[in-house]
Amino acid sequence: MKEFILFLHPMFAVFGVIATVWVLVEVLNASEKNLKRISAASITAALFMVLTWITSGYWYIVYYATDKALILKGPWAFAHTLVMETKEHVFFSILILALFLPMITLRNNLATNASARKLVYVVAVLIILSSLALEGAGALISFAVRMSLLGGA
Amino acid sequence: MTTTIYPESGLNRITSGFGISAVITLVASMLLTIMKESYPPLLSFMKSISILGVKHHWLVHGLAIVILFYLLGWLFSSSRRDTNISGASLATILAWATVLSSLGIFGFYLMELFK
Repeated sequence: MKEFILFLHPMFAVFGVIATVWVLVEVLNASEKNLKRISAASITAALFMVLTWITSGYWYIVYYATDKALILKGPWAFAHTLVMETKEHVFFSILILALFLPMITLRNNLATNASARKLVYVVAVLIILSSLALEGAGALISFAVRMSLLGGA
Repeated sequence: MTTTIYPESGLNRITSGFGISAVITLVASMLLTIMKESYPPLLSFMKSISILGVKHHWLVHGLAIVILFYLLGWLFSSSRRDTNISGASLATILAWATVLSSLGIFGFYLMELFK
């Protein structure tokens, strides 16, 4: 059950990234016909990032202490002191951008407003790249636990 | 008789307001991260706040940032002053805020690593 909860947060984050890519592609082809899909996709992206926040927070507060102790004793202590600390705080940037995204798509006619479209492109790319970076960071942190358990072998 | 449709320029007031809020919030999050790690009484204070029975600084940090975003966004959106910022300009500022705040957080912990 504990591992299931751990897997939920990167899963929700990836779904958030997929929804954001969906927003990007729809806006690149924005017209009166797909405005509702753009709105739906942006709300979906925001919801998945909020779910990521909740599930990652739950794991971090309830279960991470054990992994943290293991990492700090092992050969890759930097995985906590640098990578995890950065990850848990940079995440808030992604969350804010994801919460902002629907505000652009719902409040502007993207079919006619080039200015708003440019903003969507940048916000979406920032969410996607930052999220992928954090996914990689998470993988490194998990590997650090493994390194500790294997004794650095 | 033909009807000319002019493409919209500029952003909706709410978009502008919350966009500026996002910029400020990202920088504030970075500053809060550095401050709480550098000033133990602040970290202790954040650890002492109970939210739904849970006491954790990260939870307090996240909620504070989200509340700040919506509060500032509402304030800036409600302002009578016209912000009249273009999407491209806001996008540039937001991109820089995201990159610099992320690098700032990473750089801080990198310096802590080598202390």
